[in-house]
Amino acid sequence: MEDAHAGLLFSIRRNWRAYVYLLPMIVVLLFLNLYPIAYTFYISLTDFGSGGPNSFFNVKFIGLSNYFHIFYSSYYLPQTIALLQNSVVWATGSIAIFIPLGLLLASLLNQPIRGKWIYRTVILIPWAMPAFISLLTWENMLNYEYGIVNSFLNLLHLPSVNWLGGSPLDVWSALFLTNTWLSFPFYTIVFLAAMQAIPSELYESAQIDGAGTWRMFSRITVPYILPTVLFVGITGWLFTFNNFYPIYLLTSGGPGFTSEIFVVEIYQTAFQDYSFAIAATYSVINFLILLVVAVIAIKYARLTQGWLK
Amino acid sequence: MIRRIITHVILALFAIFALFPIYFILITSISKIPLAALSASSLIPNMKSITLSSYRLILTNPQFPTWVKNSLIFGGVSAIVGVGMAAFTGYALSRFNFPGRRTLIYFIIAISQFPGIVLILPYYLMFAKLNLIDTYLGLLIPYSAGSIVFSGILVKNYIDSIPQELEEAAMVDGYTRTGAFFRVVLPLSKPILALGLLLAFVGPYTDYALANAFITSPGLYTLALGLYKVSQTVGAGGINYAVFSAFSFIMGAPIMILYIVFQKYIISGLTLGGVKG
Amino acid sequence: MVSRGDFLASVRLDNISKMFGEVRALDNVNLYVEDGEFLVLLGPSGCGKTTTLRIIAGLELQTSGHVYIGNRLVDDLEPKDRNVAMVFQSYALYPHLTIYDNIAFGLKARHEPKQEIDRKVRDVARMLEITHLLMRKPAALSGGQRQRVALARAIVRNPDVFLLDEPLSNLDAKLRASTRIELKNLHLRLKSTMIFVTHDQVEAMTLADKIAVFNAGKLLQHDTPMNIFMKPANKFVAGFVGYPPMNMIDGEIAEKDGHAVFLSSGLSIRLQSAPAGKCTLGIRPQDIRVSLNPSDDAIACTVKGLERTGTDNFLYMSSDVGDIVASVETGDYTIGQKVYAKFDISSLHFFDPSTGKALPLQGVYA
Repeated sequence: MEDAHAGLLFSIRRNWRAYVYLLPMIVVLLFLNLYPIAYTFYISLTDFGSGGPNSFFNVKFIGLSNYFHIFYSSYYLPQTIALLQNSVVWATGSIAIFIPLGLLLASLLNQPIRGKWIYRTVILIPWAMPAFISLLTWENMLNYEYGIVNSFLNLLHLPSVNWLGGSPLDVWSALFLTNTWLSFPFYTIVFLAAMQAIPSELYESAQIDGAGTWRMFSRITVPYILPTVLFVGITGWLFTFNNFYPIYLLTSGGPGFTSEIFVVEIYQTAFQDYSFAIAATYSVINFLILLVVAVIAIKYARLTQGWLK
Repeated sequence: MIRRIITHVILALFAIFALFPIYFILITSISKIPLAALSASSLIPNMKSITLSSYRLILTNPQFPTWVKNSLIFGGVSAIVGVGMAAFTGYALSRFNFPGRRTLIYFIIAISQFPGIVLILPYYLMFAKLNLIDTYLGLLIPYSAGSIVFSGILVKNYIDSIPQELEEAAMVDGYTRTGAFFRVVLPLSKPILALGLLLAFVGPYTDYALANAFITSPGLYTLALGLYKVSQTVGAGGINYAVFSAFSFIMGAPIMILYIVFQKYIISGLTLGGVKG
Repeated sequence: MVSRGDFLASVRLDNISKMFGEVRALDNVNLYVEDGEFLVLLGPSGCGKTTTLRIIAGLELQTSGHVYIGNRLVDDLEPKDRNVAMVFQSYALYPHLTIYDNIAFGLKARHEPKQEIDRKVRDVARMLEITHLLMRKPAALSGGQRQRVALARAIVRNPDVFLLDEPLSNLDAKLRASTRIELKNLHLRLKSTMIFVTHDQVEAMTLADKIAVFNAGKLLQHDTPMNIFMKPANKFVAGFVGYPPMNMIDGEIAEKDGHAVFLSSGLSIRLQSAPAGKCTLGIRPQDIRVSLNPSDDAIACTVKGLERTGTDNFLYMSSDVGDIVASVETGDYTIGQKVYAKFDISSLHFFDPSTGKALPLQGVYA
């Protein structure tokens, strides 16, 4: 019996329409995703931009010399370390706030209380308003002299805080506060949706068995929503690590290098200093870090999930 | 009983927290100018000193229509192009079992983890070489590209839930596969395409980083660039809070309302497959 | 209805095989359906009957073999060019169109003039009594109504062959019975070739001109319902058609007193000449007589259970030769009761235990 209707070539011919339909996406992926990444890598191996704006496109291939500078030169090394530190603190600190807060609010909203939908709608407002606009508003509210936040503090006889330009504690507090305002709605709603998917009979039978709130939470709620929490936590960490706008708009990485993270530094190095090669180098490092974390995270998440089932 | 009180207190606190900045924008936008600063005491509006002059100022600013026009062009065109192509892409990913499908999907997921911000650098250099910096086309291409991949996944997940039998019935009835796509799948996909358009619009609409890197001529400024410029002059003796807040509100309120109205669809579209882990 | 002219709408499957990856869904199926015949593809889930239907429609491509409709080779034709109509199990009505547009869909695809379309749609709607539903959308219809719309959509195109994939499975029992009759009448009226897939053997027996029984990708028997019932070609067909299923008793053929006999744990039945070897005896519950009195040719049984449907009664018993089900007239039996089962010698079936094939053996009265 001949298998004339099987085989790779036949499969390709039969599905030719698919390739036509997918052409735009493939073109985009190749030219506007893959190529830029490769191009960035290439740029990082040149001296593009080190001669100021005049030496545009007049580049020289210098191999891994940029990487060497970043990790060894006395000028760049502390910067690089600070960038790493700040980025990790930014991502990890944020997630460490979002997840418990989201869980708390989701748990509260999961109860039968009056006016639930009002809370739910109002809480969504920070998410609904475009972050760019909200951030500029926060920048004004946190202004040292004119900002309303300090105005409030003064009203309570507390000293003004230099939110956007003071000590690292001040600055990071402002950043985390703002980022929390931006993000907690999303985490709350996602966790709430996950919680609502848990069949209520489980809770009812646990109540009959005499379980208390904490026990019900840890034994029933947690296992059910753990996949969601992990997924959102990991993607959230990766997203925050590269979250450009809050830091760029509020502190511009300052004062000095206090709140500088990779993406902000890359942008500034590229479009204020025009040191494209250095910016590219940082990009590549950034990308590698993310790749490693993503791979580890996926493997870990898959392991825990399998273990849970 | 106590539990209920605590619950309400906490929720109310966060509701106030969530609401406050928007309330702030509203109040300052209708306050009298000049307003160098806002003190905590003037948060409760004095009915006599409410004014819409800030809004008037913004709306009659000669540059404002240009900003609006550009934002609509960039957001609208790229959304239509992106979602239009995504319709085909999503369909192909959903229905065709072609060689290389799995690889492609993994590849897409891997690529979409790569943050858009970092692509601004190579885009700038690439488009500079092509002399497309500071042009409409120069920005429209990355904007459209950004939405194709994301919307494609969105559409694919939605089409996965449309029974294949409907297309098969159409094919037996007398259409080719493409005909079935246009007559059956596409009309049934209207909800997700509308959602895709909204999400694909908001990206470029609120984009500052890419626009700032590409655009230098004022004729191409978008609302985002305009808002940023205005915000940087607040309190320093230049434009004041009221005007900035009015601008913020004008730009942001439509989006905010749309998001609240369509919240269910947006969240389910964004987390499809994600919530289940 | 418009006549199809002289086109002979027969269907022929030539050595059709279908692989899904490593799985063999169809194994060398050969089938000829006459013009105007009502053929039922019958078998359990996963046996390949729906795959066969889809291959005829062109929705699946066979791995090897050829499909002919009329005398045309249709292998390379897309579904839309094969002039077949299909009724899906889920009806597959277009949710975004009105019933009218649903029915007119195929006609519009062929660019027929508007008045023609209107006339045809209304004719079919009248025939199936759904005229009052034409302006509604599928979501507003009941299951039975949707099924009629699906039928209307198929009929209005005047196809050469109708393909129906378990169209009655989603209806409740009462509706199923009445729709069955309507379907049969429809067939008589249209005189079209119809190929009907089902796993319900009652549907098959009542509707079919011919039945094709499938199992595990193989076509086991293709014959009239009566022949399938009375002369099953193999063990599977025998056990699949008929309720309750045929009793199967494993045993051996040996020689005894110069005659060939079928032996199994005390049961001994004389046969006309038969080769020695292992053998399975099959007998339908309806061909067993149960009596309270022992006799030479009856087997001793113990009652295990009783099934009363109001019209029929089935007695479940255990015996030395295994479990036996018999059809009985009354329900006056108690669990544990001792009864005696006598087989109707003229209604015995014999099967080869390893291949399942029917053996041409005959029982003989002593």
